[in-house]
Formats: sequence, C-alpha cells, structure tokens
Amino acid sequence: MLTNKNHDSALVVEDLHKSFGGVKVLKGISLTAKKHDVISVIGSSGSGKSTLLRCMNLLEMPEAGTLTVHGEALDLTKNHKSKTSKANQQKIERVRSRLGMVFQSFNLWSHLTVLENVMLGPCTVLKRNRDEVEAQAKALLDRVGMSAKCNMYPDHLSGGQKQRVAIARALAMDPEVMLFDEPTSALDPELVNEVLMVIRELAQEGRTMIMVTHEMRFARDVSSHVVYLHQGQIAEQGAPEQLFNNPQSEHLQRFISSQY
Amino acid sequence: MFELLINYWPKLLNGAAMTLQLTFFSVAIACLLSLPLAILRRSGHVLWQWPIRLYVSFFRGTPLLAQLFLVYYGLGQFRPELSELGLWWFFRDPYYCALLTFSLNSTAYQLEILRGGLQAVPLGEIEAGLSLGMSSRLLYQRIILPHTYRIAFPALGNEIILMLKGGAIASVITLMDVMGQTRRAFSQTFDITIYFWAALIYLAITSIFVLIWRMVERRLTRHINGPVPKIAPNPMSTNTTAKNIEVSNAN
Repeated sequence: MLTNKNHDSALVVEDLHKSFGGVKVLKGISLTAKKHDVISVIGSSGSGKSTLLRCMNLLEMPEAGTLTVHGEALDLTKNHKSKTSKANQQKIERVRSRLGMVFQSFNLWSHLTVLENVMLGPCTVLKRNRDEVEAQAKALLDRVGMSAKCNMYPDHLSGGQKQRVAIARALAMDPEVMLFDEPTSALDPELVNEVLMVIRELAQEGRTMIMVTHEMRFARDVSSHVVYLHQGQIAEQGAPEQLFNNPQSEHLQRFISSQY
Repeated sequence: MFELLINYWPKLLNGAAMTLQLTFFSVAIACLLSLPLAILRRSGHVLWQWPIRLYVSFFRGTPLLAQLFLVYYGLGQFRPELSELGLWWFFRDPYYCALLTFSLNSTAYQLEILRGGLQAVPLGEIEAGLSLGMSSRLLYQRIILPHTYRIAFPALGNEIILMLKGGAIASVITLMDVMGQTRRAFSQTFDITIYFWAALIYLAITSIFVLIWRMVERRLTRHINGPVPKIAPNPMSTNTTAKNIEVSNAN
C-alpha cells in the first residue's frame, strides 16, 4: 500500500508533515487509495486522524509532502514556503472539487434550502446546466431518503437528516474520492444508523472512500483497508480482519479493546 | 397649536424631504464604501489595516458636530487652495459638506458592524464551500456575504436611524431640513410647540422605517423562523446577532 503510483490510484499522499505551533501532528504519512478502496482511519483522539483528512483536501496546509489526485500532483512543500500563486490556487481548488468532504458537524449552508445546498457546488464551481443539476440533486436526495425535505432549511432537520443531505451535497460534485471526517460523531445514538446505512451503500457500489471513524464495528464491516494512526504516524495497517483480530502493538490492542 | 401646524406644514414637509434625502444618500454612499473597507480591515494586508483603524477611531471617537464644523468651517479656511484644485464649489455648499461628513461618519460605523458580521459567519460553512473547490470570490458571493448581511441587518437598521436623527445637526450649517425649518419657524413665532411637531415628524419617519426594516428582516431570516415546522430560533444565531447590536450600541 505504500507509495505505489500506478494509474488506478485515486488519491496518493506521500510523506505528509503537519504541525500546529511547534507540535508535530503528522510525521510523514504516506497512503494510497486505489479506485474502489474503502479506507478507514482509526486511532485515539489526538493521533492526527482528522488533520490527515483535512490535509488531503488542503483545508489544512501541510508543511511538506505531495498529494496526487487523479494524476494531478501537488508539491505541498513548495506550496507552504512561497505564497500561493494564482495558478496554484486554481490547482488547489480543482483538487478540492474532486474530493467530496463530509464533516463531523455537517456544515450545511443554513441560509439555503436542502435542494439549494446540493445544487450550489455543481452550479457554481462546475458551472453545469441548472436543470440537469436540479434533476441530479433530486435523484441524490431521493437516494439518501431526503427528497421529501427538498425545500426545508437545515435548521429544521435532525442531525441524521442533515448529515444525509451533506453526503448528497458532496456526491453532487461527482468526486473521485469521498472523505468522511467522523460523520456520525455528532449524532444522537439513534440517528447513527441512518447515516451509516447510506455510507455502507456507497461502499457497496464501489465508491472510493477514506473515512475517519470511531465506529469500529462499521469500519470492520465496510472497509477494504484499515489504517491505525498513533502519535502522527501510521503504526499499523492492513485488511480489517488482520488488524482487528491480530493487532501487533500493545497500544492498538488496548485501543481496540477500549472501543468495544 | 394647530394653527401653527396649518401655517408651517408645507415648510416642515420640505424639511422632511431634505432630511430623508440627506440620510438616504449618506447611508447609501456609506453602504458602498463600508463593505470593501470591512473586508480589507479583516483580511487585507497590514498596510491597509492601520489607516482603516485610524479612520474608524477618528470618526467614532469625535462628535458628529465637530466633524461637520471641521469640514464646513475648517476647510473653508483653505479657500484659495481649494479653488486652485477646483474643489471650492463642493466645499462652499453646506449640503455637500453635510453629505460628505455624514457619509464618512456612517461608513466608519457600518464598517465596524460589517466587520462583526464577517467575523460571525460560521467557519464550518466557509470550510464546506472551500471543500467543494469554491474560489474566494464565489465564497463571498454565495456564503460569506449573505450571512454577514443577515447578521448585521438589525445593527445596520439601528445605524440608519441614528444617522437620520443625527442629521438634525445639519441645520446648524444652514441646511433646511426638518430641524432647520423648525428653528426658523420658532424664531418667527416664538411658539415652542413647533418642536413638538418636528419631533412627531421624526417619530413618524423612524416608525415607518422600523416597520419596513422588520419586514425585510423577517424575510431574510426565514431559514431560521419559518416556514414549517415552527421551532424556537437557533440560539447560536440569535446570540451572535445580539452581540453585534451590543457592539454597535457601545460604539
């Protein structure tokens, strides 16, 4: 899994470094997501999971490393040192538009209706035809079971409903890779399943996904690959059965037993 | 008492027209100037931030009357220089002087209100826009500014009302607004009730304005208050709005 750059890889991260005010959060992470991979990133809080995901779509700018999405490579080391040029900024925006991010706290645009939330990205960033986008958005909302709430505003939805809309919004951009940043952590327990069901369906239809999660059972079920982060480094990785049944390090053993 | 009103109502109405016109143009000019300045003040280069800070603290920290005198009488001292620059026609006219002063003053206040609004835009919603690959221009158009103006809306209404009433001091530099007409009527009749009628005119204007402003606000915040089902307003958003009002009042 380490840094093999063949053309069926959707997203490649190489030697990623990130620190916040002197504290090193990521210490050289390399990870490849091939097409149709479902990668779960697990680890205790503070291990850098969310930071890793946010570095992948450059919501956080790493100090060093390269990021390759769909064959387009970004040298982040250079990026960090010099002020980002306009061309580079456009490159960053292009990379972001190919990665669908789903946030822990949904982050729906509260002044737009559910349908407008899903349509805004394709209409403005991709400049696609409005009627087409609307038809697609309605189909997506139907898939996540939210078509009845098309014209409601996010403030009137439950957490689970908001997260399903957020997933539809990310899907509407037709991304290469879906990134999930603890998508169920902000939800009431009884609302977790409706969201996990949607994510499971996406995994089954072969979408490439990278998911930071605390839902161990779910990670074990749907992932093709699990990555365990410990103190800013990939401590262990492999197939879910291997990792969960046969953890090599003591801290992973302890982490897994604490989660069940 | 009514006799006075019958005699003077055309003049008072003229005054009201002048007051409305002066307020409208000052606030509109300030509205155009304050947004770019607020954005520069918040995210521009440091070289931009200091002059803007200085400007705001001057116009918020000194009385409007003093500012008006500085422009009208103060710049009057430089008549030869202004004539040379071809600007004397502007500065010798009390209307233009009042317009300039009020615009600059209101810009300072609106700038601070908008700065508060910009700061209160939920970061998560900005990140959501970034994550879809929006350019900063798109972000401002579709996410940041719609939020900013909704958050700032009540405070901006407040500022407009303050400007409307503060405008009364234009009468001191001979402008015939409501207050100017009233002062003249009083000097002719020595009947103090004319001030009562003037107060009623101001009250009527502000009441109508408040009504309209509230209707627009209800429309703008429909994502919080309506349509179905009716729920309690989001505590987060009311809090931020309340904070902004406090800030603008304190200023």
